[in-house]
Amino acid sequence: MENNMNITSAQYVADRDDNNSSVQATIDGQEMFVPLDPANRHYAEILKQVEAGTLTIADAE
Amino acid sequence: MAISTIDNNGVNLGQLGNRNLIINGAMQVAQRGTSVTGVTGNGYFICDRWYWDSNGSSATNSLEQSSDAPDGFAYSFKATATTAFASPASGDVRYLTYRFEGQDLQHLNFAKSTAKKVTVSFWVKTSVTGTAVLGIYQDDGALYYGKQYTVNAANTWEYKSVVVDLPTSGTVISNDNTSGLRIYFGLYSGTAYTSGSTETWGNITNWFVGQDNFSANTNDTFQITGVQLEVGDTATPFEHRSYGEELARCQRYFWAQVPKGEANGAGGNAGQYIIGDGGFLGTGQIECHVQYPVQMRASPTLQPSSGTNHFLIEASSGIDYFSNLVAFAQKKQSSLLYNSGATSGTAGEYTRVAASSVNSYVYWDAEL
Repeated sequence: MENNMNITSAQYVADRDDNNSSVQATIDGQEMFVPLDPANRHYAEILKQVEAGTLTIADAE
Repeated sequence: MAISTIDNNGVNLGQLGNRNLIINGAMQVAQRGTSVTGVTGNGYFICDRWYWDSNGSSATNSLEQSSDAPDGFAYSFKATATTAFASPASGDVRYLTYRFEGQDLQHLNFAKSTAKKVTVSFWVKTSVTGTAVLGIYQDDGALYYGKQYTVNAANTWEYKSVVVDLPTSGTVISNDNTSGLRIYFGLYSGTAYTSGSTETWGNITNWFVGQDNFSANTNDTFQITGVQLEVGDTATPFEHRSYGEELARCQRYFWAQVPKGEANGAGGNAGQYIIGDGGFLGTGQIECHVQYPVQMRASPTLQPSSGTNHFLIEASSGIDYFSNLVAFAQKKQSSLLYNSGATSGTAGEYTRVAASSVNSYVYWDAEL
């Protein structure tokens, strides 16, 4: 009953003001741009895996 | 007769609209595509709003929006086991899931003394007979429930209805845009979910008590359509909605802005699928505004294709092709798309952004 997403990479994307705007992630083999909205299922899963210590979000370039 | 004089005895409440709390119960809308093969994982693969879900190991399946459907319906969700999965381990379970927003379920009075009964009705067709389970999970209280139904004849469309007594105590469903309740149509289940009590709200062992295996043999099939969840203890006829109405409802959760195959790669205007208007921020940098057709449930994830010449900008200075898009400022109503790979154009110049390859797609996902 969990989403069981396979997240293989995650990196913040910064806007022109250098504020983090989204997370560029590869989820189940698909490149995605995930908004920083806890109600978004992808971002919720990213936060869950970060909390569990199984995923790190890299800084924006 | 004045409207105020019509009471419940004067109106056949079963004929009123908006009874069905399920979107796309007739499996009409399939924005992501109509078939997929080799599926072992979980995801929203074909019919909108229907999540192919599991725990543990899984059979391999092909999934399709099938035109095989009972009288009065055009489509069904069809799963075919392409490898046999005869002996699920304790933690293995497979089901087709539908998730409701909590704010759409407040009238059920879940976990209150005035809790309602609900009825789930549907058409099902499977290649083997047996006992199947409608499972339910309530997110806020982590409550599980299951109720059995019987498939009496193989390869035959059968109409089923399951009446569920909602609990009168516990944790209420939060009044927000997150998942408040989920229903599950089980295909097989390990013992971790079957050792408890059927028709009892409780822990996960109550979830799939009595569930038989509908994927035990290669080419076993499970099909379902006409799914309706309504308040009350009686199943009423399926509430058919137009394709346009169902599509609009689905787009709150998922919008295929550029469906696969819609840009044809032919070049010129005929081969483009317009994404939006934009402009050059500076040399090579373009930004494009996207307005969704409806307000989405949450800020959506951008799922774009990526590849040579998948996208283009066309401005007075010429056409530039590029391979990917980046999203900024994703909100429930709108977003910005960005690319820094355009080679022409000057700051302030108008451009339009389009998909240009037959393999291009742009998806926005705010599913539960």
